[in-house]
Amino acid sequence: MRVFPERPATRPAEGPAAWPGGPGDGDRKSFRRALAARLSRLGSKAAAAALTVFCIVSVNFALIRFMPGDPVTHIVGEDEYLMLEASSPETIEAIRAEYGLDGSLPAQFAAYLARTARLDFGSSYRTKGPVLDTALRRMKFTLLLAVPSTALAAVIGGALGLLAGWRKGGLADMTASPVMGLLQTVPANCLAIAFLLLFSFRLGAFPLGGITEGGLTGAEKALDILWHMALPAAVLTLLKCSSDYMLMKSVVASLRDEEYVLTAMSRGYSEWRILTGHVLKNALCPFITSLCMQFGYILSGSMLVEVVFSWPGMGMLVHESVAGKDFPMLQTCFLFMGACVVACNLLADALVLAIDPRVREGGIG
Amino acid sequence: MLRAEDVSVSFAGGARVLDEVTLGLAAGRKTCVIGETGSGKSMLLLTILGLLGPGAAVSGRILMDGLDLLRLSPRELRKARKERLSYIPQGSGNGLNPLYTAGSQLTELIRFHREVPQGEAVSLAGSLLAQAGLDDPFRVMASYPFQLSGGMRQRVLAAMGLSGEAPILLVDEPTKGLDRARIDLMAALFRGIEGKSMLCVTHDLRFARQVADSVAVLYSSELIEEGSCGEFYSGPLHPYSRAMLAALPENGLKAEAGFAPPRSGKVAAGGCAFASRCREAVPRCLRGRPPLIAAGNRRVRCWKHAPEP
Repeated sequence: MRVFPERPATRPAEGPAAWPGGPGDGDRKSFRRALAARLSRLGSKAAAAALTVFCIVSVNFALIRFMPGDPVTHIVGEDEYLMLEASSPETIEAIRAEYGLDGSLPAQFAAYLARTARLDFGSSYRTKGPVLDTALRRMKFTLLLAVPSTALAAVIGGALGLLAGWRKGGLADMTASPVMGLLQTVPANCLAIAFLLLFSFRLGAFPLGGITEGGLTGAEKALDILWHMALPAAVLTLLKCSSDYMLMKSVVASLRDEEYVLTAMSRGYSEWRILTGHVLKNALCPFITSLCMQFGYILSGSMLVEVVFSWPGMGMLVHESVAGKDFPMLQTCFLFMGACVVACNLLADALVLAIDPRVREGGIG
Repeated sequence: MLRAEDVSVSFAGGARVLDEVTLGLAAGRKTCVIGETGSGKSMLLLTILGLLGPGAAVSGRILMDGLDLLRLSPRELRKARKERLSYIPQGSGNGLNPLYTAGSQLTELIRFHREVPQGEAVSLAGSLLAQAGLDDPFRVMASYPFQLSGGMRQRVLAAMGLSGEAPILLVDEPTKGLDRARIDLMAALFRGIEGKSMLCVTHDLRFARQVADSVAVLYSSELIEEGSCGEFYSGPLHPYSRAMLAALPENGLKAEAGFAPPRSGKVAAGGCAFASRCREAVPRCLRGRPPLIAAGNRRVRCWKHAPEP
């Protein structure tokens, strides 16, 4: 296959640098250098994330202190407060001390930070029990709902969007686009109520709400929970699916005109090979970023769905805590949700770092 | 080898990008298609490759070994692209996938064409890159496209275009974004290609002269002149070609007065596309569109060369 006058390739003595699949793959020095570059980029992202969490904690602290009214009013109730104020002000001071509401603001802040660092978020105003236990339990239920929904929606929406964006006006585009468009415009609670009416009231195929009937163990319990989560998970999946679909479709449609895609087509590669080998990886960066950000929001955003299906998750807890003016609980919920958004963003950064060499080595982003 | 016959391309919305272009490429010959930006040069390559989007209406025939490329099934078209045609996109654009190393893209292509183990594909890739004039091929192979300069990317793309057995090379603006010295290197690279036909689109007249056996000039989506390289550069027939060559530095940079790019696409409907800018235009040029007129071994689309009626 000599097309040019002969000119031998001289392979450098040290061999090619770290090049996946190449003969010099794993060349120690450059591998370490690449790893160090990755870690330092990730480290700076992590530092920014930690700073963000600190800001969330600070705002949380400030929020309750700068709201009108004495927080003790909410703990003991207005009547009780007025009565105590007259009869035994020292009780009010004791309550104030118990909830860390006494002393100067800086002292309160320092104490608050120390307690937060120990994961001691205090007791609920409502149940008087420790906040952390309740919040963690509810978080678990929300994750049980959110993780499978997000994953399923990403796979279905992503795959359909990939096909629809690649072949505009094709079968996937013509059938999925109207459905997804409709889903985009339907509010979460409407869809949830419609599902509840149809599948639970009319057809009686699924329970009206809750997470389990209780009194079950082992596999029976797991199946019962699956049965209970089917409807809320379906609603969340459908709603998430539509936005994933729209995003993937527009990303792929724009990638389709990229010169490297045209060039790959000119080489006679099959469409499947181009789609999975060349287009998908390029589409993944924006897709993953959006997915991770949305996952952070789904933790808080699934509130409407949780309330409709009486799913005892984080959203439900926020709903109850707002109604009951349970500030420590709300603070903890906000902190958890904020931390989740930050953590998911960090995850997105890490994934994009792994996928895109321009971010990894070129210093973009 | 490859022959386009009366190829017209227009897009929904009425924009006509190629107008009855007839052009042949002989075996082992190098043809440069010259034209200003927007003249339809790159569209010609995309049309041959069947890469125009579904919004394009294409008519005419593109014949290659008895096959009409415009009437192939997707499967046949893929086969033709794999075995007969090789496209070299602009190095200044992103003809290389930004997420893969140059080496992995080149070896993917090599292994697409022949069943060789990865290690052998890597050494083949190295020698191809070295032949394309890259001094440190294995360093280049380990690099991502964004880490390479425009000239290096162009060489990688050239090596990729030459990695298969395809007898026809379609090259798009290989000199874009390069300085004169690198254009000369690129010209030497393409000049040195043996045993393949090449259709190269460029707006660099000096590069075309260095590389081409024959030259075709596109103006406003029409082919207006075609002939051998030597004849074209020593005595261009079309007033547009003459004006272009006169404006070259070695010919004294004689820019013709009033020779500005057209304000809008086509000025005279029904007349010669160049009439509004032509200093030698006569009333006939505005009335009727000249056909491609044979003048010796050359063809030109100008009434001046028509036999007297």
